[in-house]
Amino acid sequence: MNMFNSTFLPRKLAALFLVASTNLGTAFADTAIIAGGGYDLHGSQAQIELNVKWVQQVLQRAGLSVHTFFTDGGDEAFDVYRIAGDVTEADDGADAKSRVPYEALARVFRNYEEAKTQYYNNTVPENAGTTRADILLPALSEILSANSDSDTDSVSESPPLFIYNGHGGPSRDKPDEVTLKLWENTSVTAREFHALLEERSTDLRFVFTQCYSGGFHRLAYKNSSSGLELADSTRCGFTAESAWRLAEGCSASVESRDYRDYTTYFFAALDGLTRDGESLTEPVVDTEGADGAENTGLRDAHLYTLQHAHSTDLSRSTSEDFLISWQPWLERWLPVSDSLPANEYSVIAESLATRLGLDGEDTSGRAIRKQLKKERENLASIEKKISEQRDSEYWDAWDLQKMAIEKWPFLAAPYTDGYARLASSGLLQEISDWLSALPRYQSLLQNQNQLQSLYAEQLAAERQLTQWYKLLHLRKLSRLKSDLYVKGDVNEIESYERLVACESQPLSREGKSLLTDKPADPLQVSQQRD
Amino acid sequence: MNNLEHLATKGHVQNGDGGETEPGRFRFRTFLLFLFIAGLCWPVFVITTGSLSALFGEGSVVNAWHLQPRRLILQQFLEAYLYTLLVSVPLALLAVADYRILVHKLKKPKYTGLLWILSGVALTVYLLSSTNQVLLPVLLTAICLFTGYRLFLWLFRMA
Repeated sequence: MNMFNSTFLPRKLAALFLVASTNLGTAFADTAIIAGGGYDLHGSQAQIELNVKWVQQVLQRAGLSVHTFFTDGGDEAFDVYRIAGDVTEADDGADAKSRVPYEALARVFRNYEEAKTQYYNNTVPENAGTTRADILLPALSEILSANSDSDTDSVSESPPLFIYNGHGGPSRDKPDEVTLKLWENTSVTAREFHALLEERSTDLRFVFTQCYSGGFHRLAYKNSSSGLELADSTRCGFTAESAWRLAEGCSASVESRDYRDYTTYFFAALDGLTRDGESLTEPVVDTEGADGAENTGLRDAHLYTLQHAHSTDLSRSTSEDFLISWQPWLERWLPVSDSLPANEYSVIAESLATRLGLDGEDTSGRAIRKQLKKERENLASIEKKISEQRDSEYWDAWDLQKMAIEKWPFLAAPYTDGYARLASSGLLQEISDWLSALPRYQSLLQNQNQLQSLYAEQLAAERQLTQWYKLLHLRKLSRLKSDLYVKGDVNEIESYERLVACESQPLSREGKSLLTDKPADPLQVSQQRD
Repeated sequence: MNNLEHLATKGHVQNGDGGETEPGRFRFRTFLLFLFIAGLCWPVFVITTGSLSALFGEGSVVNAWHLQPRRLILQQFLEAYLYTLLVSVPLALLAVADYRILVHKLKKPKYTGLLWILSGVALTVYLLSSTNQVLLPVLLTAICLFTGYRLFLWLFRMA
């Protein structure tokens, strides 16, 4: 058992000890903190662990000092699960079928996914401790204050970078009440996080990839609940979603090899390599190129993600969140023209429109809306098919269960001596074989396989639908950015530019440039193309 | 006598000296007219801009319809309702004045609403100070409100 989880040590003392142990020798380097994993064993997918390990490597390659907090820390109890045949380097590639000895029984009693599930202890290297709220928050606080103390000695450092890779909870109507769902079902709201930062006037850059993560943009403001006045400290970041929507990580993809959340694209852009180690097929555009910045800024990585991510995320940066919050109340209700001002968002919107198959003459809002309607109808029809298929699968399983239980009544009571006898006598394999020979079982098998295909179709349709929403979102940002410089006052423009400057900083001041081949400003690229 | 001409005489009684009095029912109907116009200005404007956005494809609220909780949109609608009272209350007062002058005093019910709606458009465009974007929605809203106003007066007679 991990000593920090021991009931013999007061929690606060454990946290302080933990911090002391993770801070050694790191005071003068650029700092990154990763918090990741699920909120309990059943919400702790291997895909999250995979991402955390990869992000950790990217940050270390960039020369950052990385503090990683993952699930239960160093506790040896199981804290992660994977579905055999679906994921990870630990998967030996064997046929998933071979892992389910009583496949027919598992399918009929609707435990097939459970039968393929494997639980294990996390293998995150240099795991500094648990993400349980009462341990993580004091630890964070100490690391951040150690970092701000060191700022006085080293002006070349970037603000610390906090990355969260896990699950999030919603708020009914207040963005700063969205939560990080931390280990042992503890949680931290954006408001509590904000209070922690305000207490120490801490600078911070952040990347939140969980559902409803947009609420965490409020960390950048003086007042966590409302207003556009920025905090005195420099804070900015990136979130996978708005405060109102689920992120890709909460979709069916979190169970699949095809998992691609915000970090998948964002850190690939910073690293120049994908999570699988392949080179990026599209270059990252350096918007700060004109200023001669050496490293790729986080904002460039975000713009790359906006342009190339084919996921269900409608990601946003704090400066974008600022633009949306700034929008004058009347403008919100007015129709807008089809023409877009020239800026980075219109360039990305144009590129996305081309990728989505809209030609130059037909990129009107009306054409987009027509496509959106089509995609929504497509998704609705898939959801209807899933519902019908589920019914059909349910009745097949129910009838087969009845037939089996009539012959072997103890199948209905798996925690009894009778069932144990069935299992120990080897009868389970015989029952499984008997079930698989029934014609009704073939129908069940077909239904279950079709359901899996439909779930994959649903995910693809959700991703495609999101691309159309993203196109509208980018067009809105393009107009808002232009409007800000026409209608905004000096303070508002200054605040916006302060956020953009914060976002544009590279991953590390001292780290080497991770990318070599950078084209010019996207706006210039677009104008040259024209 | 058409509906509006009938309306021009309805609600007024002669007193012993031949002068007119305003019974409570007349004042109540005038008050209802005020509420009707003040209450409808913003919702009619939103319906108009929403229709235009949907027709031409884009508008922040239309875009946000599937991405934000509806209660948040409703909250923004109600906030805007309060802001627009600055326009809708003067408009409602103008409507009452128009009614009292043209229908009640001058007995010219055929022209009622015309001056009101024109001055209303001018006032709205002046107060909202973003002429290009708001002109079309304001004009369409004006047509809807004018129709509503005349309908209200017609229903008045039926009451």
